Amino acid sequence: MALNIRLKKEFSLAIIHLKLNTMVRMEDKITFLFMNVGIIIRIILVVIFFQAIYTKVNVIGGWSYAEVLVLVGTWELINAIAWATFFRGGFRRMPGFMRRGELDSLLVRPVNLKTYFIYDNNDILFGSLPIIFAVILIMYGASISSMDINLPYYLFIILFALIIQYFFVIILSSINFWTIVEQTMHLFINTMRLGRYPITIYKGIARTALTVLVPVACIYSFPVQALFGKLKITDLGIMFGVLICFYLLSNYIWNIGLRRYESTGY
Amino acid sequence: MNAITIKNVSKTFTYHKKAEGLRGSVKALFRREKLKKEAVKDISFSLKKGEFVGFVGPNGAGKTTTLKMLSGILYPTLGEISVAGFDPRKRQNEFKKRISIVMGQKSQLWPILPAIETFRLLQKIYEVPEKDYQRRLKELTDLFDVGDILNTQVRKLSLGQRMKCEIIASLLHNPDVLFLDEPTIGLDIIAQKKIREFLKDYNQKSKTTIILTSHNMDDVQNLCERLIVINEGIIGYDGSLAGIIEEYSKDKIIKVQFVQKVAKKDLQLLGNLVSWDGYEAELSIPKELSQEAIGRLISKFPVKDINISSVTLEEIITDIFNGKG
Repeated sequence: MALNIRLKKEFSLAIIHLKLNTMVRMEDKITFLFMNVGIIIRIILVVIFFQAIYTKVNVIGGWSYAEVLVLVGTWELINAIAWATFFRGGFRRMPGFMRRGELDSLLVRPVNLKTYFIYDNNDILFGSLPIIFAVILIMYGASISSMDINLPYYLFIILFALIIQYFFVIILSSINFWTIVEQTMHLFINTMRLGRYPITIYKGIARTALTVLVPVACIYSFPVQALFGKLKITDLGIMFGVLICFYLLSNYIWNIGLRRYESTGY
Repeated sequence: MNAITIKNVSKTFTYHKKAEGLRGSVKALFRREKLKKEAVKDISFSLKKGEFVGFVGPNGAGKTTTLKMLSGILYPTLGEISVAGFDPRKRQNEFKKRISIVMGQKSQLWPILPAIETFRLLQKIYEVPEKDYQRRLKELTDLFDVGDILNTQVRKLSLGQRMKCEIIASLLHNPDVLFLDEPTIGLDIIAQKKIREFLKDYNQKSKTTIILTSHNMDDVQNLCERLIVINEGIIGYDGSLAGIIEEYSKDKIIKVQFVQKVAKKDLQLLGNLVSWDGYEAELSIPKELSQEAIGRLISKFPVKDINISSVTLEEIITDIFNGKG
């Protein structure tokens, strides 16, 4: 199928899912309230935590208070976008789909599942408020910083970061083709938490691992460094390399997994 | 050209055996016994365009596995499959647009929303032009007479109404091949009848190739001209429905009530005595001898009531499952 026709189809499917998911979410107002209150409390606590540290020191691993606030905001922003799109979509629900045999009905549909799962459970209603909180925090952090900012570069690197995170989610959810593990996405959430702190506080092997194996540095720290013009060209190269490797690996594991999918029952 | 060809197909599943209890669970963490289950064993058959075939067998016989291989959900371990000219293993979108699968125990409808919303989504997924979509929707809703429930939340529908909507959802894109896995499961007799009438009518009009798996022999008897019986992954019968009855229904079943007590040994002279309590008896008599036996029964015994029937399809298939056929 020509790329433009495919993109048109994916876009139209994303829009109709957005409409349907919004209609479903509207039935569920209490969840909306609890989820957003939880996110606000989390942001406030993290800011208080860093504020307390910065009363004692001026920099952490070379990062000022303003940069860390942008990092916290970026962490929230990227995760909120992931949550509103691919993370809350089919990938997170793979273990349930596979246990109940529901993946069968999706496999017979003429869609690319990896793309379909980006928007099949998209959520503008629940997802937009955390994005707004995150943007406010980023703007505040940037405003109290004395450094020059490069917004287009920042947004460009965020796009890269989201793509890497998306491939990482595909790799983790593909584990379910071999053994169904409800906790694969807990692993994702827990490893992503490591990215809430500047990558420079980690040293040696840990830093390398958090850059290329569990690429939280690429996903969270690099965009902030890009915003303040501190992202080195070598780091950009590493990020691009990670993106290519994760793309190839996710494609390979996903395709092998689909081949060995066994469904339920005989 | 055949709509479906399946040639020497086998499917083996691997699973792990775990010993009982906590100890078994701990042990399984370190070492698991790997076992293999051959769900389908070297099966071959083909279907012509427009055929409506019943695919029956007991639980675990390999019916659903076969349907899943035909629809591309599962990869066969061995063998070749062609459906509507495509290899299902490739899972091409063009192939997926030519098939549809209805699983009686799984829903593709969004439960919180009205069915019409899922239909609209499926229109986009299958890229059905607006004009065709409207026409098909009208045709299908008219055939099923469900126009008034399309805007009701799916979870508020009865099982029968939901199944009608499931079938409409699966036919909106006008597939060439339809796989039906227990479409009448859990439905009351009236809903079953309605669905059967619809499927029969639809098959005749659209010439869609349909494979039906069902434990309900009324479905098979009313809809299918051809029957494939599978048991333990092996095809036990593949032929016409009339043929299986002719081939396996060699006896007449005679149920008789008597005015006064009748001796067992006297009845045994007529044929195989299936049951007897003195006043009631059931005899199984070869078809060619049944006329004479009935005549003797009526003339020599104090018969109050008599009922003559053939062996049912369900009994024939049970015999095939049990290896008695």
